[in-house]
Amino acid sequence: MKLYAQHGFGPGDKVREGIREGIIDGVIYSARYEKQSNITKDIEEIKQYAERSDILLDPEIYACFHAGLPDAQLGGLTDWPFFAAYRRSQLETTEIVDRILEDTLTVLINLPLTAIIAPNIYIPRSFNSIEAVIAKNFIRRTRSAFAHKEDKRRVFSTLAVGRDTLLDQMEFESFLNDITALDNPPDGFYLLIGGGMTEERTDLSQSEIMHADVIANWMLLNYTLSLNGFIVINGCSDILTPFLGGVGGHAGATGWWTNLRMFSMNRYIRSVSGGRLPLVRYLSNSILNRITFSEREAIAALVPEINNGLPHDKDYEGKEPQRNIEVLQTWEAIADLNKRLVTADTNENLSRLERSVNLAEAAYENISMLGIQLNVEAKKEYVAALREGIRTFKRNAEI
Amino acid sequence: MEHIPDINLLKILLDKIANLTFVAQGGFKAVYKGTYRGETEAIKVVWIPQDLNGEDLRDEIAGRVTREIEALRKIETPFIARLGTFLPQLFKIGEYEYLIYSEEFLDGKNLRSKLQQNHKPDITELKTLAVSIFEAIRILKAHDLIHRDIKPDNIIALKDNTRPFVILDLGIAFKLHGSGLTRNPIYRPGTLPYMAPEMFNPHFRDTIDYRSDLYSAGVTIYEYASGKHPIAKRGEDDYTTMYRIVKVAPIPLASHRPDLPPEFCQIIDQLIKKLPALRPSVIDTLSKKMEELS
Repeated sequence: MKLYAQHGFGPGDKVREGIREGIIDGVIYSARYEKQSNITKDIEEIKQYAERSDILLDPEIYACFHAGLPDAQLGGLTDWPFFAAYRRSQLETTEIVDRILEDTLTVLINLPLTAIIAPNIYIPRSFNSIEAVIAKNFIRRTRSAFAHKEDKRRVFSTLAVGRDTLLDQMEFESFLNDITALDNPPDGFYLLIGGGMTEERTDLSQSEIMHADVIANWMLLNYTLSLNGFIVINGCSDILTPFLGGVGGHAGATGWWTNLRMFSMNRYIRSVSGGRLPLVRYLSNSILNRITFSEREAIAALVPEINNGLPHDKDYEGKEPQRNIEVLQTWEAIADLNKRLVTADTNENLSRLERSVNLAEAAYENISMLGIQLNVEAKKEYVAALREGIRTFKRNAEI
Repeated sequence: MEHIPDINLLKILLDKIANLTFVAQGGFKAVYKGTYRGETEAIKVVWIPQDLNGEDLRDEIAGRVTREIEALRKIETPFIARLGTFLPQLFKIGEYEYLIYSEEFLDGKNLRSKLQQNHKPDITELKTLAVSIFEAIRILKAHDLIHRDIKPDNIIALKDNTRPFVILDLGIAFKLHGSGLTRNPIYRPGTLPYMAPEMFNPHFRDTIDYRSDLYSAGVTIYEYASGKHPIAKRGEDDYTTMYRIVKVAPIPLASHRPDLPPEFCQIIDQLIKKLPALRPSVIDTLSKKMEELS
């Protein structure tokens, strides 16, 4: 399974370094933070390190409903020629959907990307909604819009949905039935599952995404789409990446800020909070979660399995590492999980995933027996959601 | 078939058809073998009931025949029976009305009769069967049609390498996006043990697609391979069978046929999943996977 950098604010040289180290396989650029005038040069730099890296750009058209809001925070998105403000009612017209596809694809095919992510809107709450009808129309019309370009690259439809859409099983399955039997489908899907955060600067493990039904149905999306011949790229999948790859996902992605590890439409609204940067943390594969530098210091001597035993561990020895190291350690850890948990056999992968969840629970028990209190971000409740998520997925996938 | 006509009356009526002999019968249809304009063909005699109970049965049967003929006229594939040269005509025999037309005569056994003889197919035969059915479904899909009655009784095995298996009886084929020819909302066309779970959804006409045929194909191939129906049990009532179709997971095919390649069994098991999205829907890929099996 492949792992991509989820690009965002303040990339510095993190992506280049991740590519150079061979711990990521490519990057999904954010149109909000990557300028059209810079992208060709940035891609060339990446390709110096790895010629075969996968380079994509998320056009982020799903933010179009936010464009007219007074507290919208769209960054450089409005500088791209394809981006404009739309009202939902406008997009009910197929002509406008076609125009957005045409305008976006025209720009994207002229960039040195390795595959094209086509635009779509965000489905916030329900697959039985006007947004879902509009989104399906974008998906249905992507291939024909792209065919006019006579471009040999793969084209992916964006499918960006709120976590609440995954909670109504009947509506979700009906949507799945629709998109898996399209007459003229795209090559694959770029999936984004959005959720709110319980509080600012909290992590994926404490987010609304960590709900058994959400995890199970995100897995089911990967499973059914890949079963039906689609290539599935998961945006902002962070620690869930191997869970999605284990059931057919082609790639996952994560980045250096919380909002690049978990997708939320809140990112397009100006935040009222400010203040300190989050603490630099260490992603421990044994607990499938992040802990702070000081927590790791306290635990490692007594529970050695908290260390991944990978090269970036040394950056955490003795002193808190530089902030730019944190994401490299994250990529290294997730790439290692992908390697260990994802094989060609789905049943074997599910067993391995279940085993890794059991080990995480046992590691938490060990830590707890030592009387060490972990920071709120590292609380173990989400492990139960992971376990239940796998169980629910197996039932829904009739495995 | 009710009110099956006397063959001697038929011979008089169809005097241009020579050597007329009875072959088989179904619910509303009897099939004869005969020679018309020098060709041996299957002569289909469909009873058109009087609509005494106001249940639109007459229109239903007439609609079926019309669809079958229209579909057969358009479809060009060796894996679906072809329309014959005797064009549809209405006949009155005694007090009953019949629609009579012809299809090509296929000289072979259907899979049901082979099952009854305890035939145990090998992987080569099963792969050929699977690819033949997939190809037929692919062609039907290209014409916006679903067959809705794929089952061992409707598949003929021929001793012809270019068309080893042929699908019959498009009588209840369904034109997607077309008018709903079966108006009775309670009526579900098809044969219960081979019906896909989504056929029991109250809005099934809005939701079914060719994956219902892939499901029936999976059930048929499973039964032909193992000699056991994956869902229905002998002697149980229709409601229990319906419950099983919708709720109960079949035993994996490999438990009945451990000698078959696991990949083959997995494909067939996957085709009979309850949720259509869980059935592999790219027919070209399915056929390719089958052909690549050793």
